[in-house]
Amino acid sequence: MEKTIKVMVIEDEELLLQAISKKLTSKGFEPITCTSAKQALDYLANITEYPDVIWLDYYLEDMNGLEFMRELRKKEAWTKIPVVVVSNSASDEKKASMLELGVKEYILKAQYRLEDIIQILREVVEKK
Amino acid sequence: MDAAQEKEEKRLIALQSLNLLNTPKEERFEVITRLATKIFAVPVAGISLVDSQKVWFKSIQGLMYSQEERAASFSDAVIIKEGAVIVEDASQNEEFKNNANVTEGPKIRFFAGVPVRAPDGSIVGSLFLADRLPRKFSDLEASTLKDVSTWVEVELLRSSITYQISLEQKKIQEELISKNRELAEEKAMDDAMLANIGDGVVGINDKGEIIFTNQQVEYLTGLRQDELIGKPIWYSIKMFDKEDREVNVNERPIRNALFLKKKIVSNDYFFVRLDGRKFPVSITATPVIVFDRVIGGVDVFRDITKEKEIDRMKTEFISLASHQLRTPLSAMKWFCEILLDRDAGELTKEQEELLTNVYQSNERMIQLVNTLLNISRIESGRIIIDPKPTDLRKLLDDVILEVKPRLEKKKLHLVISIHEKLPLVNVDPRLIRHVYMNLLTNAVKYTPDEGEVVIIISRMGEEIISQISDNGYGIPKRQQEQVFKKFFRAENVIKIETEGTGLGLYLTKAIVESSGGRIWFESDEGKGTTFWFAIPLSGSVQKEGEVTIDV
Repeated sequence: MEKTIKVMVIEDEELLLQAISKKLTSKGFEPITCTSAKQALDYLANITEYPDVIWLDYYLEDMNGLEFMRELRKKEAWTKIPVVVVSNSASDEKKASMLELGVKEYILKAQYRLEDIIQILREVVEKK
Repeated sequence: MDAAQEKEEKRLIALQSLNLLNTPKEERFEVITRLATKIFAVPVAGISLVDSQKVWFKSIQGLMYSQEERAASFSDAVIIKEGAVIVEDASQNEEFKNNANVTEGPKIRFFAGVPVRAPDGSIVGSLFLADRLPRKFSDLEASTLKDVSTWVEVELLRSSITYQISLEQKKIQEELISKNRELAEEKAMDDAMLANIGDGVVGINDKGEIIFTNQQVEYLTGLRQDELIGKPIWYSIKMFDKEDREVNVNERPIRNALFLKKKIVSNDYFFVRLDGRKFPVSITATPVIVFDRVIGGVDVFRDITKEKEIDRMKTEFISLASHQLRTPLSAMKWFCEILLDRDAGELTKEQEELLTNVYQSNERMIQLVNTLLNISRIESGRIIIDPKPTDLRKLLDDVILEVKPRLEKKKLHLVISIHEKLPLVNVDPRLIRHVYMNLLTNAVKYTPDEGEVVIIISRMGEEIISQISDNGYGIPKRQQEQVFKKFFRAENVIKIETEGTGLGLYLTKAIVESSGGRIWFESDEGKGTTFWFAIPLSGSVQKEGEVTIDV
């Protein structure tokens, strides 16, 4: 049997988090839900078995995507976790600097069905 | 009026226009009468002018009279006879022996008078000789007198011309005075307008030297009028661009307006007042052209700090609101998806239909937010235009691929014709893709099942022209003017195709124009619509910005 894919979802909108988590579960993924960047970083600091991929909302209440990526790059082990950004806005500049920081995909939220995003996650994990 | 009366009228007018009645002695006439007394050896010689009631002696030798009553005067006899009157001895003459001039006063016995004519030929008086003694007057003398009278007529001609000239001069002078008054009034009006207008107005000559300014200019530039007049506008009123660089003389709107002979409007520049305050200005530079020659120009500018601020706020508001809308729209989209995918259990057929309606309505809302964002981007001028050599054929193929399911669903026939040697064009593919997408989806949407859509890309002169035609519903004639307006939807399709924001063509036009192209259409209601857009072969101009379309 294939290994269950663990997805850390960082999204401060409770409703969105709920929808994402439900869909991931029903598709056989294991979601780890975080409503803030701090929660996510704390979680990462306390585990040894890291998630296979991170689903990151760009605008979080405690920090933005850029700041989070910088935090993530502080630990060698963390930099290996692929990150997919799912955001409300994506200027070229923002997108470019995020991709530079190691983000694998930058997705505009309302344009995609959950199923499509999950497919992208799967591909990112497989490529790893 | 009988003929005689008419003649008299004409005669009097001719007399008047000599302007000689009741005027002082003049040497040019004196010399003639003096000479006449000598030639004919008579004591009295004169030039008479016969007015309606009086006889005026323009010149007379030997008598002190300057005028007499016309009735029964010798001069009148010449007028009546229209020829020479010779009376050798009045006391023996039936006509004159009882004349007052004979019986008393000067007691004239001899009189010889010949008519003198005004330039128009009317007899206005006579040249005459007189004596208190009777004398003979030979034919030779009579003809000599007639010869002398031509001299008088030359002098009359001169008087007439002088008078005409003086009349003309007077008329010209009066016109000049009235013109001056009109000009003064106009100037007062212009001054009042210039002074009270809210915009700064600067007039320059063809060398760019300032010839007038209004008070607003002083306020806007911090420079006094007397510091500006006579100075070249490009050195005295400085302009800056967004990056604080001083605008080069060759790029100044007014300079280009004079050079290109056309009005130039710009909202891209800034003024800096003496106190250092930098503010955005709207500039309208207009050349003044007389007989195809530029004689100067007028530069009008206005502080648009407030407009810019409001515009920025509007754009920010739309942008913020749109981004904020995306969160709940995403939630709706995803929850519907979960339900429709049966991730939360089975659905009845009716539940599935209802949920599909919710999903689709939500999709429309997402589309609307996207379009609004694009409009706010293009209106705010923050959009990036990043031209690269683009194969329009390939671009169009991608668009068609995306639209294909809709084409097939409606069983539409698609005809494509593309110029065989279409060169690459330097355009921003993201923007032009949007244009094709919009025009093609419109054609598909507004054409009934089994209709036809035709796409032609051709090269015409220095442009590449793309044509998208359909044989669909068309646009009603009376609404055609509004096609490119925001929120416009044609009334004949609004019920057939309820979906639509009325923003698509507005955005498309804005994109085409910001890419250096133009767009137009023709449509017949019930027959179909054709849209064309042209892009210059030279391509679009690169533009720095902050955002691209559809992100």
